[in-house]
This record gives sequence, C-alpha cells and structure tokens, in this order.
Amino acid sequence: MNGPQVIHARNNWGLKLPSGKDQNPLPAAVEISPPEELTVLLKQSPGGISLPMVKVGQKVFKGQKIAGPARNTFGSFLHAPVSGTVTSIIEANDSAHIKRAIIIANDGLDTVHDDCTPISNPFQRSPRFIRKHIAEGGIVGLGGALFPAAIKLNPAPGIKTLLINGVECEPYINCDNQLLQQYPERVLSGTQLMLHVLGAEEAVIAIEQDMVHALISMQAATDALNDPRIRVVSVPDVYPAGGERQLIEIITGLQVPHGGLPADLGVICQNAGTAAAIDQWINSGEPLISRMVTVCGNATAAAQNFVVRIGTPIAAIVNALQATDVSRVIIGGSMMGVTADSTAEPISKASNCIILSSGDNFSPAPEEMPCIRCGDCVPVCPARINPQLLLESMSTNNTRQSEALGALDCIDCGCCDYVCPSGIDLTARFKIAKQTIWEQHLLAIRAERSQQRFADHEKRWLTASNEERETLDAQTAGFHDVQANSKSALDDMLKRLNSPTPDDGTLKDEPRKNDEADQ
Amino acid sequence: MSFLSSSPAPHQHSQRNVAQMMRDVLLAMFPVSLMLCWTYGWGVLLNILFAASCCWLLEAAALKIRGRNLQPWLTDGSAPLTGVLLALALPPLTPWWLIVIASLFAIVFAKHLYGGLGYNLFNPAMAGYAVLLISFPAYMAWWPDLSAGSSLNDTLHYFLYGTAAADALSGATPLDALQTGLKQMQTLPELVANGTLATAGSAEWVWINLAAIAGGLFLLMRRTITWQIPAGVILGLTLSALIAWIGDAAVNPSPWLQLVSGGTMIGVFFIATDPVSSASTPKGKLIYGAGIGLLTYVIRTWGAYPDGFAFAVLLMNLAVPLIDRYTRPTLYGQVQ
Ligand code: SF4
Ligand code: SF4
Repeated sequence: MNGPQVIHARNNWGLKLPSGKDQNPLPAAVEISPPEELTVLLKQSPGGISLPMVKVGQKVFKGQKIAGPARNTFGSFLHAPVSGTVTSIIEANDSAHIKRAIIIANDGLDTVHDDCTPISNPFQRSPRFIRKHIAEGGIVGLGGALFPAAIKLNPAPGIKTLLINGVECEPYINCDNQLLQQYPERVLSGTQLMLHVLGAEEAVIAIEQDMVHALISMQAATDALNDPRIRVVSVPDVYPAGGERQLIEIITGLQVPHGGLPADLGVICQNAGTAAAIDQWINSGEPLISRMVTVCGNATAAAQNFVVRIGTPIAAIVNALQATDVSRVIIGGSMMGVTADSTAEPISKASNCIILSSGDNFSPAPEEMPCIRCGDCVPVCPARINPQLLLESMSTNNTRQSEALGALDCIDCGCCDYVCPSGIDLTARFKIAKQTIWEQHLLAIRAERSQQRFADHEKRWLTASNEERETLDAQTAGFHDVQANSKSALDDMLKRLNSPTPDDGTLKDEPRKNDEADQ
Repeated sequence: MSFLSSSPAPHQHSQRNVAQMMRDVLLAMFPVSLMLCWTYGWGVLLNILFAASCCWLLEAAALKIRGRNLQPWLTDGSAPLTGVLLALALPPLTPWWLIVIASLFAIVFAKHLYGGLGYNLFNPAMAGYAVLLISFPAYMAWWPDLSAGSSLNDTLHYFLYGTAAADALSGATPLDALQTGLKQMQTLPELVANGTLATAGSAEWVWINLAAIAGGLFLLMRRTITWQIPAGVILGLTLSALIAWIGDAAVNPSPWLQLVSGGTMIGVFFIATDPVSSASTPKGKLIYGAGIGLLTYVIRTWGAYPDGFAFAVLLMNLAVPLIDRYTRPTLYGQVQ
C-alpha cells in the first residue's frame, strides 16, 4: 500500500495562511433540521438563473423539481429541499430584500418525491444518459462557481485526466475536509461515474497536505476500491492552490493557455463535493437539496460542519446553534467570502461556509494610504498580475492598459490585498475594473459574434429535434448572463459556439440500444 | 430582518502597515547610528535629531499648504525617516542651515511637489543630499579628524556657525582618502603602508558597515525589505570592483574595500530599499540594485565626487518606470 503521492511547491505565488481549521479528525457532521420556511434562490450564482416550475399554493414533495434552468444561462434544476407547500414566488422586481426565490413552507414530513430513485447499474448506461441525469439532479460545481456539472462533463473529446479538487485552501472552510473524511466512498463512486461519462483514463484526487485525516481516509478508501485509474495526491498548503487553474498548474506543471480551458490540456476539474453529490443522486436518488456547510466564527461555540438543506435561511442556523450577538455574517471563507446583508439570506448550492462574527473577528485592513510601491503584492499573485501597475492604470482610467495588464485574469483571490501595507482594497477595485472592461467588451461581442452565431443557432433551434435542441442550448447556455460571471465563463461560451457540436460525435459512436433504453 | 455590517473580501489581512514599516527601518538604523556617534561624536546625534525634526515640520507645513489632513501622514514615520537617512549621509559636522536646505529639497521638492508619499520619483533623502553635494561640495567633503576628537562644545559651535579650528576638519572618510590618494598617483599598497587609510578610519568604518548590516538583517527578517535590492547592489558593486581589481590590484580598491569604506551598507539596506522610489517587481528589484552598484562604482572611480551612491540611486530612480514595465511577470497562461 502506497501513501498519496506528494507534490511539492513549484511556484512561489500565493500565501501561507493560518488555516483556522481543526487539525483533529472531524466528528461526523450532523444535519441542521430544516426550518419551517425555506427560501430557494432562483439565481443561485451570478450567471445561473432558474425559472419556477411550480405555482404558489402547490404542494411539493422532497426532491421534486421546482425550477429549471433558464435558456441560455448557467442555471440548474432546483428541487424542493423539503415536502410542503409553495407559499410565494418572489420575482426580480419585487421590493422584497431577497429577490428571485421560491418560498416553501415545510410540512415537516420529508415525504420523498417519486422521481427520487437510484439508477441501477449506472455503468451499463450510456455516458449521455448519465450526463443528462446529472443535469436533472441539479448537480453543479460545488467549488463555488456553480457551473452545471453536466455541461462541464461534456467537453470536446480528448479528456485524459479528471482532476478531483479536494484542496480546501481558504481559511475557515472545512466542508470538503469533512466530506473526504466521512464519505470517501461517495467521492470515489462519483469519481468513477464521471470517469465513465468522460471516458477519461485517470482520475487524480488532490488534497491539501495539511488535511491529514482527509488524506488518510481517502487513501484508505482508494486502496480498498483498487481502481487503477484513481490515485490520491497531496498538494502544498498554499492559498489559493484550490483555484482550478492554480491546481492544474501545481499538478501538471502546465498552465491553461490564456483564453483557453482546462480541457485544452486534456483535463477536467471537478470539486470533491460535486463528486459526492453525483453519487448521492445516481446511487441514492437524492438530488442536490442539501450540502455540507462549515459554520464557524467567534459568535459560535466551535467550528463545525453541518449538513444543511439548500434554502435554509442563515437565521435558522443562528437559532439552531444559539449563536448570540451576530453582527456580521460572511458566506464563504475569510479571503473570498461575501458579507450577507441580512440573516434572511438562505444557503445556496454555493454556500460552503458561514462565518458568524460578533464585533470584528478578523484583522482589519490598515487605514488606506497611497500605494508605496513596495511590490509585496507582485510575487503573491497566482495570476501573475502586477497588482501595483494595474492599480496605477486604474487610477488613470486606462481600461485598455488595465486589460493588457491582466485585469480580466484576476481571480479575486485577495492575496495582493492581504499583504498590502497601505491597506488598499485592491481586490474590490479589480472587480470594478473587470466589470467596466466586460461591459465594453460585451457591447462589441454582442454586436459582432452574437448577431451572427446566435441567429444561426436560433434558426437551427426552430427546426431541430428535441435532442438537438439540448445540444444547441448547451452551446448557447449562459450567453445572456456572463457579464457578472468570470472571464473563463465567456471564453467557454465562445469556444462552445465555435466548436463543432461534440455531442453529435459521441452519439454516433455509441450503441443505439442504450439510448433507446434510456428514453 | 437584520442588516449586518458588510465589507468587501478579503476579510483577513496581514498585520503590516506603512507606519510600522517606517518604524522598523528607523529601529534598524539604531545600531549604525550608534556606531557613527561612537566614532564621530556628538555631531552625528545632533544631525539626526535636527534633520528628523526639520523634515517632520516641513512635512506638516507641506501638508498644510496642500490642504491635506495631517493624519495619517504625520504619524506614518516617512518624514523623520527621510531626515535620519539624510543625517547619516551628511558629514558628522554640518552647519544647521545646510540641513534645512537639504530637508527642504527632500520633503518639499522631491516629495510633495510630486504628490506626497507614494508618488515621489526620487528618493527624497538622496535628492536633498545631492543638492548639498552639488552646491556646497566643500562642506560635504569635510569630515572631522578622528584623532582630534571633538567636544560637545566645539560641535555645537560648528553646527551653529559653520566654522572651526582648521585641523579638526582635516579628516576624510576612508573612501575620500582612497580616491584622493589614487588621484595623486599613489598606489593602494602605499596608501595602506603610509597609514592614510587607517587615519581616515578604515577600521572604524568596517564596524559602522557591520552595524548597518545588522540592521539590514533585522529588516530582512521582518520582511520589511526584500533581499533582491541589497543583493543587487552588493553584487553590482562587487562584480565591477572585482573585474577592475583582478585587472590591476595596485590602483583598484578590492571589492571588500569598496563595500566597507564609506557608508555603502547604509545605502544598501536603508537607502536603496526605499519602496516608493525603487522598482516593484522581484526581478526589477535585482536589476535596480545591480544598477546602483554598478553606477556607484563608476562614479566612485571616475566621477568628481568621493561617494557616488547618492547619484547612483537618483539615476536608477529615473529608470524605475522602465524597469517595472519590462520586468512584469508573464500573465498566467501566457507563458510560451
Ligand atoms: S490581482 Fe487578483 S488574482 Fe492577483 S493576487 Fe490580487 S486578487 Fe488575486
Ligand atoms: S502591496 Fe500595496 S503598497 Fe505595496 S505595491 Fe502593492 S499596492 Fe502598492
């Protein structure tokens, strides 16, 4: 029996941060019992919009589909996290604080919907069927971006490696650590399913070196499974080693080409949580209606992981834990998390961590001074931006130069911000710069490419069969909503539009009988 | 519904700030200041205190005139730091009005006319010192004679009136002595043999430089400065000196002599590393430092001034925008 392969740091970007995590084996995570009322957001991520499939007053069962992806967005299917009644549907233009959401009154029975059945013998099914089923289960990338897993599992041919991202490098977040310790078999089974869908040769499960117990349990489960395609590697505990492109660089030593996708290197990256969610759906019949959430911060007793239903308001968690004096809530980790406006905000598929603080829990940034050009921000940037020069270009409103200096490549990791002795909120400013550049770009892109391509797609869609429509939809998915999303999302979009439809190819290679069986 | 306090990510920060960095540098200069006082007497202390207060007051005046808040600028420590750096560059006996002139140039012209902290192109202390070097070369070349020793009274007298008994000022730094001697066609072995270097305090200056190195190591340990600039300067100076020295050891000072005669190490660790006026990328810092080293050697060897460090720094300040542009790291994914 071999231990996990240890990968050493090749780069000097990033930060060594105090992890703020528990280094002991984690006790089993318990579920926070679902509250009386749940708020399922219809806009789970900036680029993902779902449209309601239920009406106010309708009775729903646990696991029942209540919303489906809006055409041309990266939305996903949403399912009722509990059984109960839809009490209201909040639209985008409502004056309510929370917008676009389905409110469900919990009947407390957790009656499961009939659709929630496992797939028997999934490996006998066609990749296409499994992929479609994954989409039905509302499975999205749980690393934070919430990119629909099924779209990502449908790349151009030639994928060699499936990279399972179990590198939880951001301080405080501990939910993948829990998953890897408590349910290594689920992660492995999800990994095998994805290997099947992708037809990839190998899967690499990457775990941060200081997640010792996750490494031990994952390695033991991998040894027990004895699938020669799957191996566990330990990566340096550098923040942000868990960024998709950063992790690929650490593991392969290669950088994803600028403007390209990991698939260009033959790699597809999925979060460990996503793998477990796929297993949960295919093998247990439970769609993505709950997730592992780390709850920590000085307003709670101790950091702990809980299984929480999607749609549980933060207030319900605060109540359940009897946290007092909560004056600030961060959804996510201490480096990239966003502050919640109110405790009425619910858990979304992306909420990996909730930090409940009373007073100021963190070391605040020093009072802002002008940039003293110390250059400390330069070596830490994983995107290899010179943040100091970028800041300078922004102060002169030179968007063209900002772009040339890599503004769009900024991954918002906050490393530059963290080290800046002048206390400049570089990350927040770069987000604004990106927004401005994208707005300009989108105008141009809309004018040129979209007119052409889009018209073609629309025409084809009208005459296409149902199957083809799906492919076409996948190709144009997200097009209307990318400005708020990352650059890679749009790159991905354009690539998809320009590529021959990969699904057409795979369809032909597959034995017909499977497809018939699937219908 | 409760509305909570919000702030943009990241929520966590390192515990560093500008004022603390400046304080670190001030602290790091303590050993070398002490050593200079030990060697040259009260004048050094007087210079330091006077220059620091002068710069601080001028900073306040400049802020006032520019209509800026006095906070946080007056407590960030950058103005007194400029004063101390200036004082360490000056001869231990300098009349007060020269210090006022230098401080004025440093703080008002080199710093505030460019926009204040963070925006200055030139190293303020070196800009102020350079003005004195050019305008009052005689004052800048007079160093107290080590053997004479100066009382507090004499020092004050000179400080106030700029005159003193002539023999008390016949001294020079080892670097001056070296340069003058070489210009008079003496060879190095001769200068050593006839004691010129020893009289000028070559042994004492080794200690002064060692004290500066101690402070520099402290700054490196505290990560207030990075290793690239000091390494660059030392490398640049050593290599150029080494080549010449190997060529003809009789007339070219050894790299060791170059490094420990005069305040080279003060420059290496405290002056060249001024963040604002130096390069900001790791590679750029190396190049910037090496440039200073090389130019220092060139000016020392062929220039009219005994120590070229100040001019080397100012010249390299000019090159910084260019260096920064060409040493930008390659964006992720653009590596060929
Ligand atoms: S510039 Fe962007 S990617 Fe680089 S360190 Fe700052 S936040 Fe991270
Ligand atoms: S870390 Fe801050 S002060 Fe230093 S160069 Fe970067 S932006 Fe400027």
